[in-house]
Amino acid sequence: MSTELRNEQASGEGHFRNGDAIFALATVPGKSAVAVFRCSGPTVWQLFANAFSRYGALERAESHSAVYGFLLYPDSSEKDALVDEVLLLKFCAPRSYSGEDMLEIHCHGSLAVLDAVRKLLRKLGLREARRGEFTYRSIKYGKRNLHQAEAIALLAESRSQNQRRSALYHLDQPHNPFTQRLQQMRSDLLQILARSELQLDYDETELEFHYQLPDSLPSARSHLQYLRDCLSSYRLQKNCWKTCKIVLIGAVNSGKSSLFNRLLAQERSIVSEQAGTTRDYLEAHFELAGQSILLYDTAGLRRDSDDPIEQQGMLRSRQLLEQADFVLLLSDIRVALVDLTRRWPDIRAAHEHSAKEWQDGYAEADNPTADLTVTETETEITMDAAVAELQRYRSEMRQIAAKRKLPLLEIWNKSDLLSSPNLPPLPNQTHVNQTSDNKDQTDTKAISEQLQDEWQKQRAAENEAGTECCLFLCSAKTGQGLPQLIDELQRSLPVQLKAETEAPLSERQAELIHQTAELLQEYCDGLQNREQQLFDMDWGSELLRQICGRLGEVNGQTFNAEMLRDIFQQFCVGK
Amino acid sequence: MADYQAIVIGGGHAGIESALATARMGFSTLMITQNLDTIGKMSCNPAVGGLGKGNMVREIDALGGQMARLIDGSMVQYRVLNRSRGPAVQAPRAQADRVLYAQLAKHCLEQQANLRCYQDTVTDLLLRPGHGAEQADGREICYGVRTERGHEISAEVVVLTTGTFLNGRIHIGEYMADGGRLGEKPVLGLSEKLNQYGYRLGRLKTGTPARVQSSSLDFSRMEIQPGDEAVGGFSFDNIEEDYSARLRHRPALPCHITYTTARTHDIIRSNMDRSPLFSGRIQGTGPRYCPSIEDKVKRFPDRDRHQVFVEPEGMYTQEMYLNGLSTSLPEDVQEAFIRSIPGMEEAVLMRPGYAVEYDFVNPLGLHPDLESKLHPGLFLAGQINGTSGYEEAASQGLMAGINAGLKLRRKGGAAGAADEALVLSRSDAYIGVLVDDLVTLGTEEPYRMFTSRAEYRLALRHGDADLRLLKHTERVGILEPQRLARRYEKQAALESIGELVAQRKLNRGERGELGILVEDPSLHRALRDPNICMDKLTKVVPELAGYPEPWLEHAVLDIKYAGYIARQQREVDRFRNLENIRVPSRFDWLAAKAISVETRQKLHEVRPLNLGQASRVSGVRPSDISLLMILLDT
Repeated sequence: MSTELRNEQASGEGHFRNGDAIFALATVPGKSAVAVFRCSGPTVWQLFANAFSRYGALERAESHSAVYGFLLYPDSSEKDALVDEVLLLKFCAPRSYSGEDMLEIHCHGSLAVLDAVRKLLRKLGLREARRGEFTYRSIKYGKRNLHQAEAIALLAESRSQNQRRSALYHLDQPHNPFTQRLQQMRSDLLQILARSELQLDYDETELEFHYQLPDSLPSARSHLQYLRDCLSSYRLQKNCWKTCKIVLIGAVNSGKSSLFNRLLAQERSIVSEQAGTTRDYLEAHFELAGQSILLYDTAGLRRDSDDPIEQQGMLRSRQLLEQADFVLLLSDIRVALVDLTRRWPDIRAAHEHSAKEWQDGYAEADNPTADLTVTETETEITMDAAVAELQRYRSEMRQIAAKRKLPLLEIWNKSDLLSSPNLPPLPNQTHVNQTSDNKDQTDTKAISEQLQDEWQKQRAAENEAGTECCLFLCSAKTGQGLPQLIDELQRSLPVQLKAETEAPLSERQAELIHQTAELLQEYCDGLQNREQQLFDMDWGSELLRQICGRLGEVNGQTFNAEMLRDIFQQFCVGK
Repeated sequence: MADYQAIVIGGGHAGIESALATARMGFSTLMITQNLDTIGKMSCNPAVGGLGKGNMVREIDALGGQMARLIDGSMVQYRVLNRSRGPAVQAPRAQADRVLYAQLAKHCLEQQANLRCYQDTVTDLLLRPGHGAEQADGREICYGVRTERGHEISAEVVVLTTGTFLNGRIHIGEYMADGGRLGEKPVLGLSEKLNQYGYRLGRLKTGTPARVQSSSLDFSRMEIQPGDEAVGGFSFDNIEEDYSARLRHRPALPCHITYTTARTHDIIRSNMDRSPLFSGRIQGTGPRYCPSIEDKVKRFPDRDRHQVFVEPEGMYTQEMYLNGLSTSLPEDVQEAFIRSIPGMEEAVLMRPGYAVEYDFVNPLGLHPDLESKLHPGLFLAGQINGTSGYEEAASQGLMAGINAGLKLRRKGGAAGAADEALVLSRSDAYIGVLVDDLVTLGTEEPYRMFTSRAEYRLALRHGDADLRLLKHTERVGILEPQRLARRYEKQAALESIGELVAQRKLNRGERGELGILVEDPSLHRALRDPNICMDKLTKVVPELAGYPEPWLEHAVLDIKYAGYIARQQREVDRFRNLENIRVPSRFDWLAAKAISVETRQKLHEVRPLNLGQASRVSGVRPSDISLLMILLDT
């Protein structure tokens, strides 16, 4: 806080005094058609008396109406005066977000315009709002309570449909079953506390009836169970709320970039596409069944590179893997098949003759030509090298996946090549022929199932266990097998909970519930083993007090000075 | 030049502490009381201490007050209450020899340097406009008193402790008379003046039971309740002087317990219309938790009996106090219902029970240092602030006296932090809870301390008040230097004990002797074991033998409770951060538009110093506090 503000505070009124008008850019800064500034403060529009071309109209305008005109620098020569062509939206207290008089400035969205408007607003005596200050003020004017404020913070930050729904639910229903249950729990425990306190307020000889704390054990236990349930719901919910990170990894030419683009194209709700900060990887944000997902296309993990830039890239790939929720290990289906046949003597014996063909075919590898590509060194890679590389990748990925308990999906890309004549027949393969597209689809599916089956057998034979690992055949080029892959991803996503799930709304609430549960656990344990520990009515009552205090804090019934700070720290400016 | 630096009006439990405090701080003090013979009189039960109350007596002693020493010198029975419920909720209680207690009190005042006791009745306060330097903000300043006999006596500070005497009125059935106690005239006229000066007066009621002659009672029909055999006391210093001879040889009189009968209740019920409580003659609000017997019979119709404690009033009297039978029924009814109780069939009444109504001043009009918000220089303490009980009165008396003295120090010269008003927090002391409750919540019925009023009970053990308040005690400076030195000696000893306990290991044999079953060899662990046999401690660990037993007990309890207290301390800290948000003195409470009008006005009246206090004002909702935080921009 600035010295100036401190001084104002010392003068006795805090700095939210009358006339303290604030503003904030409510939209994301950058190039856009329209940007919105929010201003709030008593008769905030009066500050624009010399700064708006149609001030008279603005002053006369009713609440919730728009006035068109130009923003002007006061005291400037005619030609420098214009700031921007704007639409002003007027809200009269108390019918506004903050509960104060508000003005929304809809201006053009370029950085130059934003700078000019911001400069003008400061000149007019408005100050930049702090985090959550509009909501702060709305509480001040009784527009909403703290629980709703937390819901708003969550809503403004929501990254998935799921989170949005939960936030809205709490915003709309601040007295939902969860908060009500906590309230009821608190009053129940307060009653136990009152009885215990009554016992403590009088000498033993003075009272003719005795309440024993252990009588409260059954209800304390059921409350404890509820809190634990809420916490596990919260953890599940949080899992849904957080962004799920999927990392694509694979050898050069395995078609990572094509798959990357294909997945994004398949899912229409792309949120953003942005190039990675380095040329090491690409990332894109999209949503799958309400879950926010970040997809990474990496540079791969080749070990034999001496190029420092590539080494840097590999380092970053490893770092990404450390945070990944899913790993998709991609390989060229031909390499994978060669690998399979080599490792499985039956196949090798039967199909030795085709191996050379595949290798030749592989040498003329198709180069994915997408707009988003990771720079990969174009090199001639022999089949042997490619197989060796796949094996290295696979064993490394399986290690990482096992260590971090990650789901690992192995994907054999370019399954469209399965229909190419120079691919070898597979063991027990009876019906590979290419007549029609339809036929082709079914066959590919059949082959895919068969391959998966054999692949699993092989894994079993090699005694690989530990991590969840499954195989998918798909073609980034034609889209074959992609729906199945997406289905699988969706199945592996965290369980999606209903918005009405009885669970804490924020990390702050969850922490308090956690503390409450710990205290309640101690209370129950203490009552149960009174012989083993120092547990008398004095400490039992104290625990109950602390428990009730924390329960009260969840709903804002009891107070802790840090609470407000915690809540508003989550806000973005402009809310 | 004023006649005195301080005037204390009243010689009850509050007045005694106030007068001694200012005199001990070195200021010339005049105590004016209506009757020197009633100084330190116990108007109701002949006992001091109890749960919460006993803690306050020890806090008074810790700060350098007198009450603990008076009761230690006059007790006829001592008992620690709630022995089975954990050390943090135990407290001492003693039966007093009523006459001896009052004698010791008067004797102590008479011997005090800088203090003069004078018999007269104050009928008015002397007020004058404040000068600029006095920061009176246009208020009038209280600079002395006017008495019934026409004296005008000036002083720089005045402490008002009128007890139940302001417009006191006695009720016994249909009988009604002006009086502060039975047979003692009330203070008339001062109430009207206070009212005229802007104080908000209310009316409270309290009651006392009949006294009966012990020779007329059949104790064989009652349960006997002896005191503790172990010798104890209230004053930290008395305990430390290795159980002074006086304590060791104190007389030990038992109390007795008997019960009301169905016939008792019938008699009371059929005479209910003759009780001034229900005939509407008594207007004042009585204490809910200390109801008269007619109240109890009416409110709990299902109970077939109520407990009665028969308590001795002293060594050289036959009067017995009937605790639990407070009443204002007519005397013939009192005699009839008392005689329906086992053991009291032949009881001879010596004094009837009665109710007394009196004026009190709404304590919301006080600053937390007990100075009046209306008139700088005037402090109020005791029952006039709406409390009940000797201990509550003495606590306020001491705080008012200390703060009056600190104000005089501030006037005297360079004002430093050492002379700032002493406002104990709720986590410091029960006294802190008492004062905070009074000036924050006000009261509508006689206020009595309960342990449940204190949120931080574990840290407010009666036995650790001396060290808990030591820094305040030193600053105030009314405890004799040799006693203060002894406290520091104790503090150091406790540290040594702590170090010893942290290092000392016990072998299997030693553990066995102490009754410890766990394998952990540390003495620290053993002391926290609920099964430890404390009697053997100094035998098994002879290094601990050299310390006085109360010190050792204090140290062991500290160790037992350390973990719990640390956790409670964290709670205290959580709450302190609200306490630390200070409200500027000129903050405009009425301008906080989002708070309801009633609450705003309440806050405006209380003028809390910080948000912690504001949060406790009645009617203030948590949402109001969040709003205030925003207004104060935390």
